[in-house]
Amino acid sequence: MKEQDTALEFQKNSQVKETFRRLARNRGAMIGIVILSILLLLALSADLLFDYETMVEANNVSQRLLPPCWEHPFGTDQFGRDMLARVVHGSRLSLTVAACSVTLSLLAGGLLGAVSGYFGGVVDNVIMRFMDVVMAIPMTMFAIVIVAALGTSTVNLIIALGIASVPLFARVVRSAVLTVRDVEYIEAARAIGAKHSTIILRHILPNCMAPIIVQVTLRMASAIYNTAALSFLGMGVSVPSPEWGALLSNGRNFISQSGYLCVIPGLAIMLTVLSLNMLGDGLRDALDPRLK
Amino acid sequence: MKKISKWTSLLLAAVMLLAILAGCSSSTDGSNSGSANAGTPAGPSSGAEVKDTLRVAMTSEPPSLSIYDHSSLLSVLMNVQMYNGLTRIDYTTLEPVCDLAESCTVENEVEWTFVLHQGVKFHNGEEMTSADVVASLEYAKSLPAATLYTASMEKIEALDSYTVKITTTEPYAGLLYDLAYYYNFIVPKSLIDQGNDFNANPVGTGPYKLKEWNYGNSITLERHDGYFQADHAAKIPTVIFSIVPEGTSRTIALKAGDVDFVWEVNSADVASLQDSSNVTVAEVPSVEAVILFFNNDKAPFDDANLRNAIAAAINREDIIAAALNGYGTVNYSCIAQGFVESTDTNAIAYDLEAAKAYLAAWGGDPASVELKIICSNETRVAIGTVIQSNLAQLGIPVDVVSMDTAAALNAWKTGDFIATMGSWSPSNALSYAQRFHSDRRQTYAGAINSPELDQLVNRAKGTLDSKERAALIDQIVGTVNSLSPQVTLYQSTWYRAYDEKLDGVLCSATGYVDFCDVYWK
Amino acid sequence: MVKYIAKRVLMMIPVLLGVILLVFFIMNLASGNAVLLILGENATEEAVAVKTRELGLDRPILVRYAAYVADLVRGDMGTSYFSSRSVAEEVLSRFPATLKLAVVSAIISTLLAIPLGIFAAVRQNTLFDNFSMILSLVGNSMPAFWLALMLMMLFAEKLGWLPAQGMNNGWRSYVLPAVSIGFINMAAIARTTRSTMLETVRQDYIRTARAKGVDEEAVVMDHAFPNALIPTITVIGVQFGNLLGGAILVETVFAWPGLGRLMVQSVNNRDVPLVLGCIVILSISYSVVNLLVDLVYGFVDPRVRSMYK
Repeated sequence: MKEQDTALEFQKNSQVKETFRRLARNRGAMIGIVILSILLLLALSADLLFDYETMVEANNVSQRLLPPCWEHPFGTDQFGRDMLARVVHGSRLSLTVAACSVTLSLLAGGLLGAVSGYFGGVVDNVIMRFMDVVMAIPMTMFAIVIVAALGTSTVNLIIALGIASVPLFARVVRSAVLTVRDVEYIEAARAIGAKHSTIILRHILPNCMAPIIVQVTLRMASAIYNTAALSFLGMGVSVPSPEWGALLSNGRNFISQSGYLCVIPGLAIMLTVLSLNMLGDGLRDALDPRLK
Repeated sequence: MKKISKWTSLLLAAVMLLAILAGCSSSTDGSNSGSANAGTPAGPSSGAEVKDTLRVAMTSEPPSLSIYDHSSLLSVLMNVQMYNGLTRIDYTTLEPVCDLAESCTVENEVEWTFVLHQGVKFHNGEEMTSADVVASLEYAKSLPAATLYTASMEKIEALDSYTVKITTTEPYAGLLYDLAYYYNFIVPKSLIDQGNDFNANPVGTGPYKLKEWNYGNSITLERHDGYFQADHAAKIPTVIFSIVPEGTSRTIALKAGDVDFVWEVNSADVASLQDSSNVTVAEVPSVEAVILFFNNDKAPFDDANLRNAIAAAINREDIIAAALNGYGTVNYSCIAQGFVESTDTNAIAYDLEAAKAYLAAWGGDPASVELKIICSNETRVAIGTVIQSNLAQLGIPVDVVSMDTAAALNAWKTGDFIATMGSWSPSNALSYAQRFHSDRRQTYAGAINSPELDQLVNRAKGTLDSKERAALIDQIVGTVNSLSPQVTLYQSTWYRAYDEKLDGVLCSATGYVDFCDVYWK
Repeated sequence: MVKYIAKRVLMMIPVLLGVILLVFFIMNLASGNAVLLILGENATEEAVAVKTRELGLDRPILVRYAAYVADLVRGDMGTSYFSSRSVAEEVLSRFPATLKLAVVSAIISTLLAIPLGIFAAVRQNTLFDNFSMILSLVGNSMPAFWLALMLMMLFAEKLGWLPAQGMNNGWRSYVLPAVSIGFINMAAIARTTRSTMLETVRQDYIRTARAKGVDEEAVVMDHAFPNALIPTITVIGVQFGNLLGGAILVETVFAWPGLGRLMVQSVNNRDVPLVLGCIVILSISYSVVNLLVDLVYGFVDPRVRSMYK
């Protein structure tokens, strides 16, 4: 028994190594990782670079709508606030909102999917039919309806985006669980009387991480996108938070004279989504060579 | 020669088929818009001929074309093109003048006689008589939504086919203003009796009638040939109102000649339009005030000193510069400037030192004041952002709460709010003054519980002499200004832009334009 | 076949009922209702009470849900609170705009994507391949509404070639919105076409065909492409379905009088029947598109067809 464990452990380790090796060979994934690391670094050091109160919040009407120049590389907005400072602080906000909403849907969707796949039968049927219902509503619309119901705030935005993508995770996790549900070691665990929760959490989920990791990366990308989309519709975070979608929505009114107010936040969104997509694709290829 | 393979040819065929399909779909759209433009042989591009169409770009779709069941300025704008009341508000003087009535006289303090124009035709061809007037006003009276504007009318009687007598409950100075309110417009008795839906079938006496409503896209009006006032009859036969919500796009459309008239110019674009040679920009100083309301029953905002401190600390110039791109008018008084009776007695102007003094008089800890301001649109959020920055100087933390209109209205109606922003544009000074009466607490957030004020308002309402009334209004305004139950943030300036070949455009300070007077030079 | 279709259509009914229930309850949670919006902020309490009764909003939610479903079964989608027009009339007057935009952009994206994908696969690892894949990656990551804004800024504002908004200018109105959406969808379709093409050209029968001396164009178009078509069709179908529901933002930017904008507006207006109407129509068309995709699938692939029995 003990020996088998180490053997498994060894196999796992070499699998992880192999995955990393494959990932390192993927140019797109590497570019993605580099861009993401830079973004994360910027987000983490935002407070060191630009003071929130004086640079992001405080108005300076005499400096309004300055085009990009030496002091303000990204120009200033209608309140005279430095766009560079706002975009950098915005990265923190956008990434946090996206990460929280993905975590939420991962937890809820993962749990539902795992339970559904593991138990099967009526439980499976009830859960998945409910997921069908949620899936039948176009996601953006569903998020809009939820935000309208809960009211506009950052937390509600996270909840709305989280709930709307629960079915996606439920489906992925369910099908992953189905593939490992009946393999021997699970049956063995069941035979020695392990609890359902133990089996799901200790034995099944760790063995279907690959598709989940891929899904998390790709959902992060779409969460960034959807955060921006809802903010653009005025259903996002509260002012003066410099969320990228809100910056974009604000810049829209000045598109004819101060186009940079629209161009820059859009590029920021695109760059982030792009790097997450590249990383996600790379991970998928690395984790599942058959898909290549 | 290489033979063309099966799949390549199939692909080619598909491309061609799709191209044809695409061609068809666009040509059907062409005919669609053609039908909207029907009766306009001079298409959008041919500017040389005399045009018989006016294309107006609106901000959003009017929720209703009926005179009932809406509270939208855009709907009222449509209403004034299609209906008339016994009186109307003159666009330059903002005083009531006769409209469907040929004359209105007050017999004694409470009895008013209206002699109607003869030969006035509704859009459906029926002639308007006193029976229609009585039926319309009685119907408006039966609607709870209109009580503020109908409650004063106790009795409405037809003396003969063209004479109507209205008896008010008490001497009431606002009657002629109220009759110009859209709920009191005149519609055919026969249609009221049939339970007509005036949104689907708007029938009035106005210079234009509905031709086509392309939901979500455009509303087309055409000239009502039987209009009763020759000098006020429609000069351009067809007016198309299209819905262009994005301010920038309205500007682009006007510059490109896709529309002739932009109803509301995006303030960021005013300068560029003023520079453009073939566009006229009308600057309309309005009587609309944008106001910050406090929940002035609830601590700590039940204290006038705190409210005054906030009033003195908000930099209106900053608001106008940052949130409105410089296009607005500073006004510190609780009544809009522009009426004969407008004053700024006791108004608290921007003064940071004064603000600090008021704050000291209040004596509380500014950091403990939780000022959550509900903002229900983009501009208001921008204003909130400026206020946030301003009040930081007093140490008062401000939370800008963005809500959609439904939630914002609900919050204020249920009293579940600390501060909210609203705008108001009544057509007369008396309406402004009346709002501060404590019995309006339920319908107006700036009303305040003050017996002294209530008494003044009651006296102003019952004073038919305009000079005396003006003096009373000045007293009311002075009292309200010293208590700051509300803070006037600015007075809107509206910008309407149109093709410089258009003439006869008269933009009223209350927000309307009679398109029947507009003509191509 | 008919039986299969019938079964799929029947399966849509419970899902639809669930959708309605879900949206009904969520909308009920929303703060504020249509009454105040109709009457305005100066409404008296009495007026509010009367209007609330008139709209039937004083009844408990379950009663309202039951009444709504009962009406729906009879084909009545209710009446809009705001316009007092029937929801069916309102929704159907907007649906064609959304559908037309979706069709035009689907055509644009398909016509661009398939050749792009095929050529990229045939010339794997060349400059063209790299370029087209970068293009589709960028397209896949670009917010459609941002692209829409950028196109508007360039072609409507700076160059003045195309109208910025609405659908009143014939085919010219379609260009910008359709391209904004089409470009983003092109990315996904091109990527799928490329990867499935790559997979098929590696298969034995292709090698056999080449060995037999069939010319390269025929190999690609006659042998590889039909087999690569299946996943491509799925992607096109999925994208088309998403288009119907996902064009809200582009519709907002270009003021396209479609369903997406109508829905956002009615959510803001708390016009529950109209919100439900939009969602019902969109959900149905979404399911119908999926069904069609499955049927086309069977048409292209005989193996799948046998499953419809």
